[in-house]
Amino acid sequence: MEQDLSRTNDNLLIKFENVGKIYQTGQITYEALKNVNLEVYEGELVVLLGPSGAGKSTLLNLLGGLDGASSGNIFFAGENIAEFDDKRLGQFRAKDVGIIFQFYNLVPTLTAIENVDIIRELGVEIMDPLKALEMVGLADRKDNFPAQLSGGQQQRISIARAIVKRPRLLLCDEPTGALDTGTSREVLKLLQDQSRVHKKTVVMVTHNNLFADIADKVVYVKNGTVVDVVHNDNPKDAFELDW
Amino acid sequence: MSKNLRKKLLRDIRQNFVQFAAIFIMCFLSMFVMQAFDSDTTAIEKYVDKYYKDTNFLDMYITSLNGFTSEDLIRIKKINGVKNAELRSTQIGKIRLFGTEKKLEFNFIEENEISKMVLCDGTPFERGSAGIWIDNDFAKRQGIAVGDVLDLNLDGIEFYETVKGIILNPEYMYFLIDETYTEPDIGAYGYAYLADNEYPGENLLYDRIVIDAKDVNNQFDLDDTDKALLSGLRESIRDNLSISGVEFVYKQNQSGFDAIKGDLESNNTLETIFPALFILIALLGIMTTMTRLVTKQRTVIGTFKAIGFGQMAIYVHYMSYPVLISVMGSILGAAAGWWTLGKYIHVSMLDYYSLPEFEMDVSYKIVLTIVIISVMAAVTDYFSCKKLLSQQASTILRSEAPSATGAGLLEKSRIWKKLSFATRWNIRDINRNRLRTLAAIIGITLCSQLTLTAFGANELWKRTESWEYNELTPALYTIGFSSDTDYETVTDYAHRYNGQMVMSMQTEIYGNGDGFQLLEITVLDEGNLCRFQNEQGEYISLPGNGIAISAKAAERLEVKVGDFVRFKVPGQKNDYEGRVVTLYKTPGSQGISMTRGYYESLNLKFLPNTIYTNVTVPESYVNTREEVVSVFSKDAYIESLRANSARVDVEVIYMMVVAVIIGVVVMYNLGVMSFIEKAREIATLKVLGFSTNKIRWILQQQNITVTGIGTILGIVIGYRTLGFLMGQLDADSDFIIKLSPIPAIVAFVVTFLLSLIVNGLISSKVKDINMVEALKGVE
Repeated sequence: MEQDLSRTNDNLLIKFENVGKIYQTGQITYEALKNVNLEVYEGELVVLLGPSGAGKSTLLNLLGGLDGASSGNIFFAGENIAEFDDKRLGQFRAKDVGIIFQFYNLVPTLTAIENVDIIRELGVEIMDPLKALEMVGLADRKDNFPAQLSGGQQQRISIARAIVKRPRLLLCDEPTGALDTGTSREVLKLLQDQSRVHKKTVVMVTHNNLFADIADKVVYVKNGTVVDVVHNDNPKDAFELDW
Repeated sequence: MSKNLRKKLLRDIRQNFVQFAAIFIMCFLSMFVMQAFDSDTTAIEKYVDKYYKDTNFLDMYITSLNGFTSEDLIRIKKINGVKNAELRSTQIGKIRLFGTEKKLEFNFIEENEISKMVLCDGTPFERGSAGIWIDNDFAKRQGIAVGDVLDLNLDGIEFYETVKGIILNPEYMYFLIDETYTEPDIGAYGYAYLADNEYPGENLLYDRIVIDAKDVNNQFDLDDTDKALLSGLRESIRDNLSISGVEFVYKQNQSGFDAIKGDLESNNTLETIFPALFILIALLGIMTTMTRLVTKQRTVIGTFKAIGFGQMAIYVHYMSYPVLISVMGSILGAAAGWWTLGKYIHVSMLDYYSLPEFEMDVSYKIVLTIVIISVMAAVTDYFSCKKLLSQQASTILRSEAPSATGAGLLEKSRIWKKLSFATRWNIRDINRNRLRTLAAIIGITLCSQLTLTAFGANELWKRTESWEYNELTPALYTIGFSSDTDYETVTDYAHRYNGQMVMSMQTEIYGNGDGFQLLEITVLDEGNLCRFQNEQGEYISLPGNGIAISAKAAERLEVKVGDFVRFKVPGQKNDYEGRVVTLYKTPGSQGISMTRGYYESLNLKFLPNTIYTNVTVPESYVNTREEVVSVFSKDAYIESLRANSARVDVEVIYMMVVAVIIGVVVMYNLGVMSFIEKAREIATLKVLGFSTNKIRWILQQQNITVTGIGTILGIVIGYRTLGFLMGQLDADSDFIIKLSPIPAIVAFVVTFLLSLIVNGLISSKVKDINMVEALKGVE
């Protein structure tokens, strides 16, 4: 399955320049990322691969403005988000980023549609929440609470919540980490469609090497650095994956 | 807040119902008590002030046994600072109604521009007009109407007057016709106004002048400037009047003013102390509940932050939980307080005070307090959530590492190793949840404190009856004589009834504080029917070389043993001085007491006006003997006291209900919270093979320890609270705060029983705990 991707300055969405992240806990200093340089283009599906503790999640957090970098610059559509204050970062997350978590992170006391509709609070323009649920195939479960849904269904609600505001960037932190194989394929397919059909940039953290096959670009992370970047000109369809 | 967040809020509240119900109930109780008392304090301030302003209530009056003349009046009117003054003669007489005689206080007046009558029916009073204007409450109860001709008797002279008007007068808002009444019996006796030319005798003695001061405009709420003005005016009048033995009574010492002001202050104390305690518990509840809620919703908060919610929006959302609950609780509590206890207090007040208008009222204080409660709830919540919310989204989304509490001194000591597993587990649990434990101790303390206060107050009230009428004045009968009865006549009665003669009068007494206090002087002839007790409740004798002073009078005059007090004696120009030799406690009239011998050593004449006796005295003497104004039996006094203690019984019930509610609410709320938090640990213990009973016993041990600490603290604080509250009840009442062990035992048993029941209910869930689910536990 081929995708028409042009990697030019015009469609460069994210650029990491010598980005570092240091955590300080008491007297203990931990360098989670060191001199990371990375480019991500509009519409790409990027998979961040690496062992546990490699720095994948930290990289994702910096990408999504969930955390600040200790050094370097992070450009998003030409703006250096590393210089943003908390308020501006909040606005950036609200408008441009959709996040999908490993454990879905739905509000347990809100129904499926309410969990999606809550994005309206951010003051950004959103699509009809029911349409977002239709896109993930769960319109008929709109009035169910998370506890009444399976793990896969909850993750699909989480995807609907992320896409309802039509963000330019979708960040996924081990989105299938808590799901069985069949359900994982469905979730991966949804994410792949976001990239292929809806031209969203999708960055996914995983430790499952197989997922590299569906990505346009695979970024290998180890000990806080990007050790390799591999472009995949013929990514597989998510349903073709087998594990 | 949006529709979705509102739904989340309501569902979260429903899921944490017990915790939010506890906050709700505390706010409810707080405003319940406050509104109940405040509806009347506000009404007092509003309607008494209006009454005084509408009727131009007197600012001061002066009395003299020798009487005043028109020249005296002119002199007073000319004094700078006097706006107006009126002569008056006030005397107690009788009215015959359907064959029975009732007491009636007659006022013979020239004008009625000061303390004006409020006309309820009939025609207004005019100078020199014929007829009588009679008390509305008396007229209603006795069936008197305008146009009736009344059969009256004053100083043995019978005369008839036609009722021209039914009236109310602000000076009689609180009215005890003589000392035989310990509290008002509205309408059983009355008062009346007549023009001075209607006096049935030959020479009318004007025994008082009522004065309207020029610059004292604030009629009820007197400030220091007003009091200073009145004090200055008093000196000017004293300088301008050449006659001796003039007694001054300021507006603030007038019986009605003084009584209602006392009630106002007592209500103000009650409406402040208890609500403040309940609010404290509510805030502790908010702190523990919201800390738990935000900890539980750590992932939700992290997600909100991650997807772009601003910090302020999240704060506002979480602050709205306690604000919503506390505002709802406060408003409903205020409404319930108004309709229940408030109405009850209002009806009780109407048994004591007579006003033309007196309706319950809402003050700005209630609204302000609700606003303050909601702001405090929001601020408390802010600090409970701040630690978590101020972190980065990525940090919040990571699971919280268990807090490592360092080993304290106890854990390093040798004793630690000797402690059982259960004790060590409980000590560590308490140490890890210090705030929750503190909240539990405070709640239990309050429950135990209120129980002790309620039962202690009840015991003190019940004891007052025996203290007053068995221990201090055990006489079966008290005979009261009119002020002009000569010494020989009273002595004759004393011999005939084998009684003890006593001289008592109210007068100005000066101590170390500013100005004087209107207090009682009691002078005792020999006998054993009027006794004294010290602050420990031990009998003491009156000193022969000085005066004894009641503890409350000493407090008001700011004197102690060894100091001197100065006092006036009606009819005497000079002031007299005596050294305080001992203190005594008395439940009733506060003042100073001395022996006849000491009184006479000051060159004063002993003129007894009361006799205490154990010989039966015919009550008909009041009607048949001119010199006898009252005959009261001990039984009658006790009956009146018991009527009063019925109100105390109701108050005790209210306090007990509140104590039990607080106990149950706090214990259940914190117990459930603690249980939920410990579910994983309990499940682990079960997995390890601990039996349900063993685990329940471990939990019960902690509960017993916390309850024990709270109960003991509550009993200690309860004694202090009781002393404070009883001291606030009435300026003239006093109690020896010495209780039997019963209130403490009741407080202990009630609190412990509640604690055991509540904990038993909660710990019964141990057997149902699902080991697999609890140990999976990702919230």
